[in-house]
Amino acid sequence: MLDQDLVRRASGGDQEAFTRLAAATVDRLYAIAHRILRDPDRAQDATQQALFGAWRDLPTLRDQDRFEAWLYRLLVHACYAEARAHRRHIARIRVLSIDPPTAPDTAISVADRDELEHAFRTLTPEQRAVVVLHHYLGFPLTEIAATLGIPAGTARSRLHYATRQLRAALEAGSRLPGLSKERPA
Amino acid sequence: MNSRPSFDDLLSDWLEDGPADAPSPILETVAAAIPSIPQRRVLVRVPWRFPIMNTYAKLAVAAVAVIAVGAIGLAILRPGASQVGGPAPSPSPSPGPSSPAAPSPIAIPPLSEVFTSPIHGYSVGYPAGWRARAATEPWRALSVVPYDAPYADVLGPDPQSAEYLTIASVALAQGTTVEAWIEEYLAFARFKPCGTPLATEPVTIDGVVGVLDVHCAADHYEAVVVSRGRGYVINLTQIPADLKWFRQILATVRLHPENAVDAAPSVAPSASP
Repeated sequence: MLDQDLVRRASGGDQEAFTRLAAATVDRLYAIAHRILRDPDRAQDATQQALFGAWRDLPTLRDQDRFEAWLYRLLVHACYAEARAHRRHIARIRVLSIDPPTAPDTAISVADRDELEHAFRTLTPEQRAVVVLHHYLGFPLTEIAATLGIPAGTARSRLHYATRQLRAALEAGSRLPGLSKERPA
Repeated sequence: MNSRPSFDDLLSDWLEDGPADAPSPILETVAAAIPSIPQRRVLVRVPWRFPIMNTYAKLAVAAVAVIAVGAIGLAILRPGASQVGGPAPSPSPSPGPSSPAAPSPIAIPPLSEVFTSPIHGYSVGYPAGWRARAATEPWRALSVVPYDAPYADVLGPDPQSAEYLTIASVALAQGTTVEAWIEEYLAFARFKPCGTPLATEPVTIDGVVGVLDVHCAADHYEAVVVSRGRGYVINLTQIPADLKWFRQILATVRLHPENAVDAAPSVAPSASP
């Protein structure tokens, strides 16, 4: 939980307070951006853009209790911009992230991981964001909708189609015979 | 017993893999940069909706909404109906009624209402059901036009929506060229959350050529135009933003710089050139 006093002081122009807020949130922001963008450099750029935007626009934030959700929103928008900028250049420069997975989980085979990675990259940035907010941060759909400023139905739809696409990618490889039912969102 | 994990578990586990800590240059860069990035200042917070609304007023609003929805539904379902809400306030490009619409991320509502700015000297079409919050003071200095600025006209469906128009205008200082003013305004974009515009292209608004630029990839379009010594900024924030619809909105804009109100004589010379 972020210190609301820091948010209030940063909103009033206190740079030290904002730096402390940034320090408290930067790991989480980067982790989210990395999972959406699947690229460390672009995740770094998106995180910086989100924090620059947060500093600049913080005085306009009407409900300071929602600072963290607002920050996520800025970050996701920055990820959209990064993803789309990347898409324009990818035809000329094919850059594939080769980050090794950290601490592989024995529950996921290497093949499953590769299938998920490949399928995830085919999702739109909007779908990726919803998947990450739901499956990584554990946000319910209502909170995703509020965070991103989209109707709950849109969040549900994006998650549904993204999940279906990811499942199909795994099933196509016959790696998941008899997948169990999804958890209700 | 060999039980397969569920797909959701696999997905969550896969997402767990990956970095948990940010590279240190991020924080160092942010700390070094913020002293040179000015914060937006909010002078007056104007509530989006009227804070007090009695029960009768709420019922009346609800009744009007129900009637409006019913009327729109009838208009859509009626055989031969070509356009909902009567004629648009001005000619605007629209798909033929019988041809399938081009793929669009949202349903495009007809721009059946007209908002005339009491301060900024223009009118614009907007959808039925949206509300307009007129600016309460002139735009005194060139800056960004945030949602809650008292100098911004704001039009949108409701306070929680991520979809809204913000519009403002300002008289160009004497000696400022059109190109210089547009360039100066766009330079502020680097301070916006999405940074420098990703793309710009010419756009014609009420017969005047301006600039259309894109900020946050697909969720923020902005048009900038100068008419008879007055600069106009028109923003559409929408997730995802629909460029086709934004162009339709721009086609309804009528610029009347002679009707604009400028309180500060030092900023706005009295007569248009």
